[in-house]
Amino acid sequence: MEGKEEGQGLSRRRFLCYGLGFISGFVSLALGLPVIGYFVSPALRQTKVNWTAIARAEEIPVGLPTPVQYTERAQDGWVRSEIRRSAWVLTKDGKVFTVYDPRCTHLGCAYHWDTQRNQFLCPCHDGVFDINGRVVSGPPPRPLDRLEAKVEGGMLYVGRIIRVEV
Amino acid sequence: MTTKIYDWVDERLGSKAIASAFLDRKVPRGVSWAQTLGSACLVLFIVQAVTGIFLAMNYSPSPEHAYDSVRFITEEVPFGQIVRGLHKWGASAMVVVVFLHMLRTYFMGAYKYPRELTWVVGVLLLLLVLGAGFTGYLMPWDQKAYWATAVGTNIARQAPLLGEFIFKILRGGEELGAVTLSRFYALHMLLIPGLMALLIGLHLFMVIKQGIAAPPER
Repeated sequence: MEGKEEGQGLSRRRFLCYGLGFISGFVSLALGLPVIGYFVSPALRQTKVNWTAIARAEEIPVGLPTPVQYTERAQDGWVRSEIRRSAWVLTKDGKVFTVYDPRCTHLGCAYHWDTQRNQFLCPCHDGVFDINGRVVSGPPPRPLDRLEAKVEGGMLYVGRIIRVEV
Repeated sequence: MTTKIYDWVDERLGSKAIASAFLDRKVPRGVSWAQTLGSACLVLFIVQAVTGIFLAMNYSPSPEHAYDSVRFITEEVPFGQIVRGLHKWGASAMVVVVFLHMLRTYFMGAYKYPRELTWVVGVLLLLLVLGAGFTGYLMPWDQKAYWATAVGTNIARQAPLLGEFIFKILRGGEELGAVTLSRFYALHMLLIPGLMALLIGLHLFMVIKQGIAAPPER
């Protein structure tokens, strides 16, 4: 039987250790990458904006804040649900729409539009907002929150909530 | 760099001696692929455990949500199809490999003195693997899962004397429903893997302590 040449470096043991390391590493990667991708995916996913149709644009009278009831389709994982919501819609020209979130920025009560005083009034603690959502008087700390709004094909759609600073 | 880390841990825990006991152990002449089946079982167990853990992050064990959560994993979670597939096929692979491991141990007489306890623990592990397969099968809560469980529990019911008793314990009552699903989930996720981890540890300890059995002379 031929004797093994004594050379530099790699002993049989070392070679087998490297080989074992490579194969284990390869298998771990092949199994681990999909699993890690699975685990990490919620952080990397862009939450797609959910546009919900709330009314036909022509139904909103110009210059008058109008209450609108609509159903939002929500998806939480595999659970689909329909949530009843409402909003106040205002347009000055029938083309550009402002949609206010219906909760008072003080403590979340439902406010309403008073046509006599031309202001939004909140019954809980007497908060008062003007037609642009700015606080006139009372405890609310910031202007009315708005919903992103767009008109497409004659339908008014709303998206995410925007906090208005100032 | 890595040698420094090994040295640091070894100074505190004697880890080199442990690693050496595992990697440098004496092995009888004539060992071949047949003797690798045990390690194959271990690798499959680890794959099942890891994929199972991540599946559990998105699975909901209630009749209202089970099916939808599985569909969500398969269709909407990135790599969900791969993770679920690994788990499902890994389960079948594990049963096959466990049986092959048992057969080769039996036919090579490796269960004989002094390895009787290793064999007994092995049989317990086999039963646990079959239990994991049976309980896991119900998780998707689809027609196949439901009826396979109905039939399986009804078969158990046929056992003399204890049949009814076992039937009700398995189902968590008379009905195959929400209680069955949560019961099976707890068994599948907690009890069975827990017991398996302990018994595998014991099984491996005994195998390493006693050494691999010499294959029979031809």
